[in-house]
Amino acid sequence: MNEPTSIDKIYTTDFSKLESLFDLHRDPRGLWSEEDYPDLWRHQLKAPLETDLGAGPETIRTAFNGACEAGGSVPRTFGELFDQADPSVALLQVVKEYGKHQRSRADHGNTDALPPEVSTMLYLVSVVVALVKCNERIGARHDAGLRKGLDWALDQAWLDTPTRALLTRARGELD
Amino acid sequence: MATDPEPNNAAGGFQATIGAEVRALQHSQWQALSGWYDRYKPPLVTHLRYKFRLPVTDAEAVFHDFLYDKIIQKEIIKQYDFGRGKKFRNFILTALDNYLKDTFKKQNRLSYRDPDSKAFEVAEAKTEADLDRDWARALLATAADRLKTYYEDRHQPDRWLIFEQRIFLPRLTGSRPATVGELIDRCGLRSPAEVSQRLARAKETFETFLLETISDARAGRPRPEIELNELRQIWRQGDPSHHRPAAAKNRDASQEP
Repeated sequence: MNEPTSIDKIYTTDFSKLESLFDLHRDPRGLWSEEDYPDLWRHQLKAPLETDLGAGPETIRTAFNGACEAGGSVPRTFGELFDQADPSVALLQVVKEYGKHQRSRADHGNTDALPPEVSTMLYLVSVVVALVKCNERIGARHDAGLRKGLDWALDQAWLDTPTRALLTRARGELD
Repeated sequence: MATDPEPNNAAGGFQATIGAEVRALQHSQWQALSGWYDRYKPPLVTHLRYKFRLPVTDAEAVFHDFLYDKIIQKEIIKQYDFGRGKKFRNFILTALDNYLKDTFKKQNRLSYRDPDSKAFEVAEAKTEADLDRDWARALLATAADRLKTYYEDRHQPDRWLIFEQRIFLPRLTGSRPATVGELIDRCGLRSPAEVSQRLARAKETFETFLLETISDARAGRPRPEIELNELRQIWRQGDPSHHRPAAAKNRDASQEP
């Protein structure tokens, strides 16, 4: 006899539960739910820059390689970049573009994109880090737009404490 | 060509095609067997593998023995009566279940599954609704097995794992979907984007395989006379076996051969 596998459960589970597998394309739930956002964000911060930016579209790949070749110590992960006291503005710009790109893909119905909330957060944090730590504006946002974005970000219950503290500081400086 | 008076004749002209094929087989016109074989083999082998937990080689062997002994030698399709209200696919499924049961009786191998399993309840006791549900399960299992094999053949078993842990098992069993962190750790990935991409591709591929299993895309017609709308009807009818009192289930188990 074969060892039971997960596919065997099709024959042992309540029949009504099978229906949702037949209609996945109609399922309003995306790949991720809001419950997943804290974990997604935590692992986004732990993700190597090379993994995401080096596999992005050509403009992002080229900008990433250029920022790396510009010299200085290149942090390994998104989180390390945001934590640096004097991060590379060029790298922050690439991260901002990556967040924008992911957001745009999600808005255009690409199901494999990160949730728009997570990619928007990536965009905002890169803008804020450049502003707070480098005194550089890398976004096209005016203060009013940035305030609105920060208010939205600070309203996200899934945001981690260090990022929240950074955004709170930035929000205070805009007032 | 006259439309066959089969129940649930939702597919219209397609049913006429199948009816012509069945009639050809009833007249021993074996050239019609090729189309029948292509459509029925995948779900019937899956049925044998997963309902009766036969190893894949045994399931293939039983199917081919059934084809030779029953379809070709005994010509059981001649017994199928269009006017009796039984779906052809259910006629075939009943015949296969009985064939397997007889084979196992001869080999004294009737304890294949768990003691409380109803897999070997006599096939003649099954209603059309029971058989419809067995077909639905076979189609779903065929698509899932194809996805698993697809990724194994490409040395990408992590893609099946991601789909299984994030979508397949949670939908089937109500279990908690694996988190992105768990999937990153289990699959040796590095970022949520990598997980998202693999999960989305696996989900799309599963949907494609499922549609191809239900509808034979190459021939442009449903596989074993079943289609998505009919499956939805089957689900709406529910599964009474999961709502029966425990005493009834225990009684069933005590009657296991």
